[in-house]
Amino acid sequence: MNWAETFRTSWAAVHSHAMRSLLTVLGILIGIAAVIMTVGLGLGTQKDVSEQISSLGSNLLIVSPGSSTDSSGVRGGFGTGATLTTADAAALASSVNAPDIAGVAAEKTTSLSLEANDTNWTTTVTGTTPSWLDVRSRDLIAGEFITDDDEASSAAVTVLGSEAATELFGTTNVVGQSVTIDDRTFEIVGVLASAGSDSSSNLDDVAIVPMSTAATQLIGGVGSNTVSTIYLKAAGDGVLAAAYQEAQGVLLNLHSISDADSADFTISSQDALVDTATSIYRTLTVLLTGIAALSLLVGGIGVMNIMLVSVTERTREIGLRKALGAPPWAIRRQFLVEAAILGLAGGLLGAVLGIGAALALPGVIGSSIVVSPAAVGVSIGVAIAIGLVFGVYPATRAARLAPIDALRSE
Amino acid sequence: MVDTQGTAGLLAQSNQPNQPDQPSQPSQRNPHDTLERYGEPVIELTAARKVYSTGSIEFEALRGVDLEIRQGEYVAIMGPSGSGKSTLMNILGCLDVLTSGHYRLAGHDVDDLDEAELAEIRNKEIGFVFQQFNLLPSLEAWRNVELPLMYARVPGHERRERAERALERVGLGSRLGNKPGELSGGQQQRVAVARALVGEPTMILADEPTGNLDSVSTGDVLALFDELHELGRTIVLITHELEVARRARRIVFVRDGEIQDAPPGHEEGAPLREADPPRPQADASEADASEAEADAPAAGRRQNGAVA
Repeated sequence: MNWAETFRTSWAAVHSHAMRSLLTVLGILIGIAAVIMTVGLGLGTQKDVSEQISSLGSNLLIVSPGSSTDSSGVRGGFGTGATLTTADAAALASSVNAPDIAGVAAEKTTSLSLEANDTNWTTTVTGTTPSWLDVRSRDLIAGEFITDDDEASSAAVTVLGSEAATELFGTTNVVGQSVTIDDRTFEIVGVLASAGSDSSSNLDDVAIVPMSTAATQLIGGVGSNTVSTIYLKAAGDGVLAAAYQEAQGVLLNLHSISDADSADFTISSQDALVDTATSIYRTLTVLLTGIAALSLLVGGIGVMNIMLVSVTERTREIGLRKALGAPPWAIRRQFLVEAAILGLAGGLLGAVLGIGAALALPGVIGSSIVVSPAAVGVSIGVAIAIGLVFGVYPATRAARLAPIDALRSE
Repeated sequence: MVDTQGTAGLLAQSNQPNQPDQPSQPSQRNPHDTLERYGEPVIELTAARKVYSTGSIEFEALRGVDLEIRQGEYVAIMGPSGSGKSTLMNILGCLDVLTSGHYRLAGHDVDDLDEAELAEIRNKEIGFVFQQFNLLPSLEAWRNVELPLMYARVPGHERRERAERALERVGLGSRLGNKPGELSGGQQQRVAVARALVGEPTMILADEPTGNLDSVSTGDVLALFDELHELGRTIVLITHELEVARRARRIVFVRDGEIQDAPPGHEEGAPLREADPPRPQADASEADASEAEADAPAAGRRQNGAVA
């Protein structure tokens, strides 16, 4: 009996009990679907994170102010303090102090209402320097970015994000128009290309103004030279760690802090972002993998159970086949193939369910799921393997049946 | 009812020579019987013992049986239930092995073979016909018939060809694609006979082949055995029905795990040479000789039956 005949015989056995076979493979089906979803979710998260990273600019380090302590001694969260200044940014830009830092862009950010042609729109107004465009890896779709001259003269010019422009004017073709920010009229000199959104803000809903203009005209407060964030661009992929060390050294020195643990600022990198995303994903993976493993175990036991039933039901057939000359290995192979077919069926149906869910779910849960052909292939392989592993015992029992006892059974 | 027609036609064909006048039949056959048949021994059973142990109880199903059956013989093994004839059938069919003694089948020593080797022997040397037909209900007739060839690794197209020929041989050429459920009992048993024939085994071992059949189908199947015997097949038929056993050329009685002394002319080993030469003459001259011969064991059986 060759393989093709064995497959035909085994398929006939599975097919003749279609409903029972389907119920049997349910466990495997769910397990495989869960595996495909898990891997898909992981890949989707990675994709989301890498998109975020590229939207933020590569080789980026982000320096945030440390926590503030108010008069009653309550310590605020990170980023609430005003410990970073334009002087810090200038020091970091020095190629002597920090040779591995290629670009520095300080930001001073606040939320303000913009007005144009009777339209009001509240957006994030960011005061920054001309280096911002390069450090944040952004592009313009129209006009030009703020210049050193604008910075020096505290010029009333602004570069709008594409979404802010659209909200105010209904179009991004707005270079040369005027917009009113905080009762001051600004000339729109450029529009930023769309960059999507990161974890905390919409990168397209912004209005960029020169740092000096923001400090003197728009954002008052504690000190006109404080900044909310400093973005650093490392000179290359390999020197991100060195750039981190240099930035930390420069800032600790400048702030006269000897112990890095009590620093009044935080430097984070894209790695940190990736780490956060990865840790969330890891929790999810453990959860889903647990479900998948349990489900596959239950599915395997189901296959074993139904194979034992199949062997019992067909004891007479086994006896006959043995009488007609089937050696034990042929009987064993026939039942192993039958179990493998059950596994394969569960795997295929599970893959269909998993892929279907991967297509349908992103719309519901809002994170992308990427179906990896390799994961689908491997899962189906695993499903077949489960069928085989749990089929060994029933198949061996069938192979060991004594022909006379088998023939005599009713 | 088209079915009945077909079967009837077949019956007419196969039964006509037998039915009206039984004694006249052997006279046509016997020349073959002596000349070509009864060649090398197919079955050589020596001091065969089979003991079944159930817990502490031991039951001796066969107590030193000697039996020789030669190529081309048509032998019936008879005995009441519990006589050990089923055990004997299992041993002869290589479905079970002896506790002690020796069994040679077609020149192979069967005693020391493992399961796989026994399977190969069964496949090559034995064609089984069972009381329950034992056809696989999900397979068409020809697929049932090709099963032994599948385990003999005969290529697919040749299998189909041979299965079809075997089915034509048993008169079911028009029923190749029918599943067992669509066939009558007699037809099913003929499919089983075709399956027993298809691998060209050394012997056909039939275990109560007519036990589940009505009288018409019984005649049908037995006529088929007659024809196969005529063609030189070795047939061993296990039965408890005298009417069926009488169709064989030799009857072996099993009782209490031993072979009973056969009536005169039917002793083990010797009978063929002694009994056969007279046959052609007897048949040529007196047609009733073989009927008398067939009746003799029947008488023995009756006596045994009366005792039991």
